[in-house]
Amino acid sequence: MSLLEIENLTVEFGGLKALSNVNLEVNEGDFLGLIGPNGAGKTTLFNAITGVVKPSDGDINFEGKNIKGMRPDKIALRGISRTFQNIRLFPKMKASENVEIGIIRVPQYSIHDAILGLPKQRNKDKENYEQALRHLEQVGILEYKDAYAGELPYGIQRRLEIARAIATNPKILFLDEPAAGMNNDETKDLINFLSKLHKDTGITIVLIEHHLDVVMELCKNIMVLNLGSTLAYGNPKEIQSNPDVIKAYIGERRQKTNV
Amino acid sequence: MGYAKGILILMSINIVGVCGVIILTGFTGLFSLGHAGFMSIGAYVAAILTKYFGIPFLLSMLIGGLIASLSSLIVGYPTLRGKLKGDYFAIAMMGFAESIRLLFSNIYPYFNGALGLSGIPLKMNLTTSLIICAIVVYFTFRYLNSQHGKLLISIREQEVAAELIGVNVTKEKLKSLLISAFLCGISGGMMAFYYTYMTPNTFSAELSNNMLAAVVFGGMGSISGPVIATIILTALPELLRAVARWRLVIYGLLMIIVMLFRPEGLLGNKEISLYPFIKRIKKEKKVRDVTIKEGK
Repeated sequence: MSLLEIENLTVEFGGLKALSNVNLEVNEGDFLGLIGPNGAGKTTLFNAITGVVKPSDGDINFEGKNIKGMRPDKIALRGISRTFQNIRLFPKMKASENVEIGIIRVPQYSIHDAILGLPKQRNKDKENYEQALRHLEQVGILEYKDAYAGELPYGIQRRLEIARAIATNPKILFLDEPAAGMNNDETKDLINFLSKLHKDTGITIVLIEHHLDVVMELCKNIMVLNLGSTLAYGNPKEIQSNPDVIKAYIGERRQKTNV
Repeated sequence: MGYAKGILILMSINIVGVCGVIILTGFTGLFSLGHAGFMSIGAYVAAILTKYFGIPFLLSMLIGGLIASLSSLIVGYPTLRGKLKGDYFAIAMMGFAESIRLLFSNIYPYFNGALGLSGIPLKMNLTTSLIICAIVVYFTFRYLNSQHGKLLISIREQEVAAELIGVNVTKEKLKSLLISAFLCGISGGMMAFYYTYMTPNTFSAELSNNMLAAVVFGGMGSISGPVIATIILTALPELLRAVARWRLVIYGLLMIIVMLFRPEGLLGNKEISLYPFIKRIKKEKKVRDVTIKEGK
């Protein structure tokens, strides 16, 4: 059984169909790339899966359970985690605290434990902090642990967001343009980091990216969206030689016309 | 001496109320213009229970706080579930406080309508009020420095991200509103037992504004900041009595100056703590010990 199954998913904004009849299957351990021109509906697909927008039709099955229309926090607790195209960190919290929120999510002790300062609270807090540091180390930004997230450089913020997403211990991780705004060196770092993460943890990753070299290098399978529907699906080689994809990305050679 | 004592009691009453606003506005990021409503409920319930039913005042203050807390659900559940925030939430709360004021003005049995309650037993002396204040500040400090507080800050900073990580935003907000209303209810009860007389107009919008001002003035995301701000803002009108005519002008000017030069408030999101001092003293002592040893 596949981890995530999307059937005939349709999302409408007023009269505009942002997604129409999209089908997708993600298996455990997959590394799926999601590409397409601007406005193709990539982020909308992420938003529909994570519960930010309500699909008007279709089904989203995660581990055999229909999660369509569930509250976003409920979906997240089932093991779906994501990052955002425009970074959404907690700017006035320290880097380590940002990751801690990903670990805590639902309070692990009650309010009276907190007020009385029982050992349960102190141990839990310490445990979370140490784990947060481990996640920061995992993405290679441990030295920034005490800096406020809003004051970090852009590339580090991207990594911190990934660290926070991993901290929720997800079964499937959605990355929305992690390499956006990065230079070539940073992008290379990111590729190494993501392939290592995927190899080490075996986590299922779905990646939206405009840097095609990132997608081609990392992903086993690629889905191409155009104007809200699936244009192509296949491994990187197939996608690169697919005439429809080339048409959507580069355009058609104009026919010579006799004037 | 009685005068200074009175100001100290007033300060501690205000600090208890402000602690409630710190939780809701400073940490959860929900602006409220209606916390006087919760104080009003707490005050009336406590006063009526003690005056007419002879219940010990501490117990009736607790009950008043609990009822204020429950009443916050009336406005909190629909608004927070509908993700009302910012100005909209502030206005909803303002409407709530106004309707409480009008409701109490028109209930005659026990509440005595717009004439208000008089002859409430005087129970609040300096010791009691300082003890309650200390307990409440400690409670607020522990609550906001725990996981619960961190979740509230995450909601204030970036609600969408918090929700997509798996934080039940509505539930956490409601919890903070309940606790915030409880503390304001307690503060109202203290006020009733100190003033011994009150009308529904005692808890006007001005009171809510003052509490909100103290939090913004002291710094959103700080506990010691608003507490210090409350002390200043309570003492200031009294200190300025000498220049009575210019009192409100100076008060207003001070607010404008602080907001111009420190828009994040007096302390921003920092805390005043004794820890650095203790650390320094320890360090100096160590250095001294070492030099003494080496001198031998």
